[in-house]
Amino acid sequence: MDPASPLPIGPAFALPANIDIGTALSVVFAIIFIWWLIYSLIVIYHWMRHARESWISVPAVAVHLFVSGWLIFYATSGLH
Amino acid sequence: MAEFELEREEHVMAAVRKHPLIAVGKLIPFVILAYLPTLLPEFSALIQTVIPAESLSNFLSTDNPWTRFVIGMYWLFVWMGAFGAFTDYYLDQFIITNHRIIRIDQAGFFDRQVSSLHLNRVQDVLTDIEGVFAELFGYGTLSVETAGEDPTRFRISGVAHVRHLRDLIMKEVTERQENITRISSSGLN
Repeated sequence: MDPASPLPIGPAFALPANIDIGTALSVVFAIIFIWWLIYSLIVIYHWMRHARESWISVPAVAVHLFVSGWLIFYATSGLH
Repeated sequence: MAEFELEREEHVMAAVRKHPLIAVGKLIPFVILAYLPTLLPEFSALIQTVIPAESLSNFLSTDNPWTRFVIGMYWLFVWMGAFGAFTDYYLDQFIITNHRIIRIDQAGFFDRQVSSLHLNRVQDVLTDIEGVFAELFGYGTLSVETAGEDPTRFRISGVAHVRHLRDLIMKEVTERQENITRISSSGLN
């Protein structure tokens, strides 16, 4: 299915004609990405500030970035 | 330790966190939330028995990039919640030195409470191990009672090795009291 085509479940989910679905998607994704970025920076700050002596801090941050990256990749795969 | 400075001749005797089972308990709701989208094919099949709409079942399939986008973003938020809960769990700490008890409570991002209590003021240490899991895994609630203070002021629940901590605190308190008694009686002589 072409992600730029209208949603195939009826008029209730259709966007107004003057809104480009690709643009709307980009805006939604940008907002979520900025949210995730701010959250990640805050979390990394806390781990590095308060638990940097602990061996688990770097692996924990690495796991967070890896899992988040994989989920973002999964969510956007197929969209173009 | 950035939160507090050790006094002269003060050393850390124990630093503990809440029991890992407490972290598991905090993470279970997120596991359930993460599992929900995997039920989408069954849900779709169920709906199709009621409303035979091919387009709806195609729309709910993970082959559809829109569905994948929504599920992926949903999982991202679930992951952020779970990682936040784990961060909150891990950054809570309970430290016992030979001078005082320090409680570090990460109540949320940018809300970190550090409080300490000198052993001179400790009157009693209570432990409460309630439930099968708590008994099996040795975690419980540790309450430190002080003279003229609210006894719940120093209370930490789900702390690991709770009996060992109680014994450690009481041993140190007793030694301090004996030292004070010895010094005051030698001063009188």
